[in-house]
Amino acid sequence: MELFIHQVLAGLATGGIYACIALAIVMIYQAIHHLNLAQGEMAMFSTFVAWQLIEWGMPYWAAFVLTLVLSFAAGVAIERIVFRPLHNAPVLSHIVVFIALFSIFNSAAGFIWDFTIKSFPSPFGSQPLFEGAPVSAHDTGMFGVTFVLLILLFLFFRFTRVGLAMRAAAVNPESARLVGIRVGWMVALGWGMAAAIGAVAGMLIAPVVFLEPNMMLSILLYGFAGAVVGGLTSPAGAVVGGFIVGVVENLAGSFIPYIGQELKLTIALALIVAVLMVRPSGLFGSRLVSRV
Amino acid sequence: MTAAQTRAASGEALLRVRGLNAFYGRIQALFDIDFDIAPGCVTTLLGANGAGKTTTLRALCGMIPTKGDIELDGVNIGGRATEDIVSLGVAHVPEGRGTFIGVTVEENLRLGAMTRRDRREISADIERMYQLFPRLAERRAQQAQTLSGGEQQMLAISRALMLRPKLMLLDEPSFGLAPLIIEELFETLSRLKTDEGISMLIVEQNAALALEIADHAYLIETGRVVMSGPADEIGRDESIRRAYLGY
Repeated sequence: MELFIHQVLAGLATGGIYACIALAIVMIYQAIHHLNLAQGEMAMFSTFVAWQLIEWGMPYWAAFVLTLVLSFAAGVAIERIVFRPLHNAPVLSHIVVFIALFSIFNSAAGFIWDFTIKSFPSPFGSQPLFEGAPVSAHDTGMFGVTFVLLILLFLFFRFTRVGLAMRAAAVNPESARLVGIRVGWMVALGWGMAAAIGAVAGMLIAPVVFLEPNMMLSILLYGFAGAVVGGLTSPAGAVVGGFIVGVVENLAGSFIPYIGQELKLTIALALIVAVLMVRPSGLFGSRLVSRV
Repeated sequence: MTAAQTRAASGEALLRVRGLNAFYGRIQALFDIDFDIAPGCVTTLLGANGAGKTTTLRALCGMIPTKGDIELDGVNIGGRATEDIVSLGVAHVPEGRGTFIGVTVEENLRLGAMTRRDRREISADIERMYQLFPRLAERRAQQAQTLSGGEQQMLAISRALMLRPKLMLLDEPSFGLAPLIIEELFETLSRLKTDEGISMLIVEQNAALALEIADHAYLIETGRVVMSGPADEIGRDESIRRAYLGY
C-alpha cells in the first residue's frame, strides 16, 4: 500500500510535466491544426539556456524567469519567421519543418553545450519533503509549480480579454477577424506561451532526467500521449490526460511484472493506440464536424 | 439633428463604392460595381444565387482581394486588412452567423466589442442587447452552439451591434429560419433602423422581405449592377416582380 501511494504521488509529480507539454502541444494544435513535433526540443533548448545563465552566476529564480521571457520571445519569433509564411501549406510541409526544427535545436544544443550529461540544480533539493515522507521535496515543488502554472493559464483564458480573443481566434479565425481580432498575432502569442510552458516543464524535469540534448524525447512522447488521451481539442483535457499518463506510467512500471523501468515508455504508446481505437477524439475532446 | 442625419441631408454617402472588382484566385467575381449607402438608411442587394451578393459584402470587409475605391465616411478602406476595416466601424454578420463555439453567449457579445476600450459602456451595451433580445439574456451563460438557429442569428446581430457600428452588413439573415422567427427578426431590424438610425446593407434571398425594410435597392447579375433605385420603385417593377418576387 505504501508503495502504491508513493507511486501515485510520484506519478502526479511527473504527470504535471507531461500535462505542461501536452498543454503546449494542444495550444499550438488549436491555433494551426498541426502537432508541433519540436515542442520537446524547444523545451530542452530553453533548459540549456537556463543552465548557462546559472553557470554564469545568476540566481536560480532569476534565471528561471529570464528563461521564460527568452523562450516566449523565441516562440513568437519562430511563428513569425517560420510558420506565418507557411500557414496555407499542406500537412507534409509542416511536418518537414517540424522535423527540421527538431534537429536544428537538437544539434545546436549539442554543438554549443556538447552531448555530455550535465546535472541541473533543483531549487527545492532532492531530500524527502520531511522525515519519512513518501515524496521528495523536488517532486512536491515540481507538482506545486506546474499546478500553479495551470491554474494561472486557466484564469487567463477564462477571464481576460486577450485570453478570450485567443480562444475566439482558435475556434473561428474568420469570425474573429470580423470582430477586429488580429488573428495572426494571437497565433504568435500562442506559440510564445507554448514555448514558455515547455520551458517550465524542461527546467523542472531536468534535475530528474539530467540535462542533455535528448532529454525531452521520452517526455515529448508522454506529452503526446497525454494530449491524445485528453483530446487534442481540449486544453483542460490535455492537462488531465498528462496527469493520467504520469500516474499510469508509474503504477505500471512498479506493479506489472516484466515492464519495469525500461519498458515504461511502451505504456505511453500503448495508451495512444488504445485511446485512438476506443475514443478517437480523446476523453474530453469534441469531434470536429465540418459542414459542406 | 444627429451627425448621420446632417450628412444625409447634405446628400453625402456613408459608403461610396466606385469601380469595385473582386477576385477568387484568378476568377473575377465582381465587375466595376458602383453603389452608395446613405447614412441611417437600409440598402439591399438583390440577385440570384451566385450573382455576387455575398462576394460584395466580403469585398467590402477586405476578406478577398479587390480593386477599386471603397470609401467609408470619406476614408478609403479598399485593400485594407479586415481587422482595420472592422475597427473603423463596419460590422459584418456573416453567412452562417459566424458563431464562436465553445464560448458562452455573453463572451460572444464581449468579443463583438473587442475593438472598444470603454469597459463600463461595454457592460451597459451587453444589458441593452439582452433587452433587445430577451431570449439571449436567459441563455447568457450557455455555450453559443447550443442555441437554436434563430437565437444564433440574434446573437450574431447583437455581436455586430456591440461594435457600435457605423455600418452593419447582414448576409442572408433569414437563412434557415422558421417564418415566425424571420418576422420577429425583421421587426427588430426595422426598429434598429428607426430608433437608432443604424445604416445597414442587407443581402437577402427573400427579396420581398428585404424590399419591405429597405430604402434603396440594387440588383446584381453575374457580378454587375444591372438596376438600382428606391426600394418601393424596384418592388413595383414588372420584370423584377416576375424574376425575384414570384408574382
